[in-house]
Amino acid sequence: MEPKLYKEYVKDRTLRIEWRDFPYRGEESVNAGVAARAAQAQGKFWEYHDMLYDSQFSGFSEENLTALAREAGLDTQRFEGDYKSGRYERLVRADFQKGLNLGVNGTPTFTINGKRLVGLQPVGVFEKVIEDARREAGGG
Amino acid sequence: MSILLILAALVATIFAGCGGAGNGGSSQPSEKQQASRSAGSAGQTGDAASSGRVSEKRLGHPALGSADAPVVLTEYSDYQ
Repeated sequence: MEPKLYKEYVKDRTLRIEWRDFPYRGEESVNAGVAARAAQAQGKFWEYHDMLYDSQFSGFSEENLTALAREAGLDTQRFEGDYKSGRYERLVRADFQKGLNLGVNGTPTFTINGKRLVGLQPVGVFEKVIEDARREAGGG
Repeated sequence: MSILLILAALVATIFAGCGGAGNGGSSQPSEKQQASRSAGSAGQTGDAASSGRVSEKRLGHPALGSADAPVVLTEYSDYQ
C-alpha cells in the first residue's frame, strides 16, 4: 500500500487498512500467503509482506520463504512449524473463497467503505475515494 | 426418664455434628481437586501464551490503523 496513504490517513486514525489473501495464481501464491501469516504470528506480518514483494522474482519455494523469515529476524523453527501446520493455509484459502464470493477476480482489488477499485491506481484516486468516504462517515 | 431422653438426644446431636464435620472433611479434597483442575487449565493457557503461539481464531486479518477508523480500505491481493 502506498506509504503516502499511511502517512496521511492511517496515522491520524482516519483510515484502517486490512489485508485479505487472494492467491489466485496458484500454489506459490498460497505458500507466500501462508508464510506471511506465520510471520504475523510472530508480529512481523507487514515486514515480511514487504520482503515478499521485494523478492517475488526469486519464487516462493519453502527454502526461499524460510530464508526470508531468517532475514526478517523470525524464529525460523517456529516459522517452519507454523508454515507446515496447515492452520494458516486454512485462513489463506478462506480469504480467497470469501473474495471469490464477493466477485473479486483479480489483484489487487480494493474496497473503501464498500466502494470497489480494481487494479493499481494513482494515489490521487485513493485520496479522493478516502476523502469522500470520510465525509460520508461524518468525519469532515 | 425425660432427663435421660434429653441426654440421649444431646449425645445423638453431638455425634451427628461429628458426622457432618466428617462429611465436610471429605468435601475438602473435592474442592482441592476442583482448584487443581482450575490451576491446571490456567497452567495450560499460560503455557500456550508463554510459547507465543497464536491460535487460528486469534490471528485475525492483518491490519494497519485504528479499529475505530471511519474509513476502512480492504485490499485483496497476492504476492506474485
